[in-house]
Amino acid sequence: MLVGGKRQQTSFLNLLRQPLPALQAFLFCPGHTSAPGVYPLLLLAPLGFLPLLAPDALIFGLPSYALIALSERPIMRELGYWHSSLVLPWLMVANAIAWGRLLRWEQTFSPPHRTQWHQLLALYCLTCLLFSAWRYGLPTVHRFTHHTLPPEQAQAIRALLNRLITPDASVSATSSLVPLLAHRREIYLFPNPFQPFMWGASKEAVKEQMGQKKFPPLPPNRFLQQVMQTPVEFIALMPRTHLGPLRKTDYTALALSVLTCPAYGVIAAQDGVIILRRGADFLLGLRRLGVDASAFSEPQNLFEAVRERWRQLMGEVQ
Amino acid sequence: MKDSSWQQSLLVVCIAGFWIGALVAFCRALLAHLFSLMPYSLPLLIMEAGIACNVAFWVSPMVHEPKMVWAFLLGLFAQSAILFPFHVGYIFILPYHWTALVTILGAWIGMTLGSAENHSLSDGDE
Repeated sequence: MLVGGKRQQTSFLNLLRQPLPALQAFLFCPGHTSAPGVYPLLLLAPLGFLPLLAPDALIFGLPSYALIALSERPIMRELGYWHSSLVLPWLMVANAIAWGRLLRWEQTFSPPHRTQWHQLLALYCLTCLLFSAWRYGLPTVHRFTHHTLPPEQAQAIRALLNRLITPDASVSATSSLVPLLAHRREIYLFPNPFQPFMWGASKEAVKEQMGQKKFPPLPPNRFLQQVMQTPVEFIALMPRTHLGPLRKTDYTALALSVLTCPAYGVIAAQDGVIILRRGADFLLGLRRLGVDASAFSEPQNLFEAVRERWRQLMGEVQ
Repeated sequence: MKDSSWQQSLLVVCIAGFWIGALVAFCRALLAHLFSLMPYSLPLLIMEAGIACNVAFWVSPMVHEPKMVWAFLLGLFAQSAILFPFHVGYIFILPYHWTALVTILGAWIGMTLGSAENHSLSDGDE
């Protein structure tokens, strides 16, 4: 990270000593999903680049922008996240000042041309706003609302979790369910704590968050061993939701390991949520899931049956 | 600043050029979305020149002599279309292509037609 950390002073001096690389990083910062240089344009394009006409106001937003642009975390340069809100107020102030200046310049026009000047400004801003709303606004909103459930289903899931999971129990849950269960002493983002991933305030966790370090799921036997040894009381899975921070294939592999672990039994499989409890009846749990274990003599066949059921729950097969 | 000052023409050309840029970016995205027309393909280039021509015709009365120079600048400012990212995620700023300079031609034609119409209107008044 160029700025921040324990040695801010050194970092700041480094910026002054190497102005060109700093400027390059400032303007051509890559985002998580966007190419280098797109982020500042995404901030300015909806306002028609007009804030650049008020650099005296814009300069106050520069420290916040530097914090985002020079950060090692590309996710900070995504429009949908809150980080951009550090810069937006200054952009809006600069935009208002720029508009004031543009309207003051109308005095230089002869009266018949003043109306036309107003129309030109209004049309320009309207075009920029409409284009940005369509190309940047809608995809961003869609990205964050893609997995939103109907209110009835969300309410049913909340009631189910409150009913079956005791308030003081430890839980490992899928990211969408974590906020509903967070008010307790031990809550883990699945696959934690069985396999640490983005765990704690470590350098490794930051690397994993930034995508510099990939997540290699443990081999099934090893993961199963971890599940058996780690005393977490409940596991809450949800096949059809945002599965982050895991990829779908990794989430599926780990979920199958958990579902075929005899130490846990499914106590509920409804409203798109699967709740497992440590020590619950494993075979009965599989029946609740929709798999009749008595029909399979070989563990491999049972695993295949659970995998097939999981694929149905994910909506991959009918 | 007087009404006839070059600053006024520069201001108009700058804002109008950026407006053409925004419209061109809009068209590139819309036509790619609707008809799978590639940016810088011939139909899109003709459309971009048409947009530049129309805007230049409209702002022509606000711009002073020499109009051809301002039309040239208008076409250059229209290259700001490249500054409007194509999409928010997984995408990029479009790679630039020299054929986009067709907007200069469009701006020239629009400005010429606009000034010709102004002349004919003022002749009619006399």
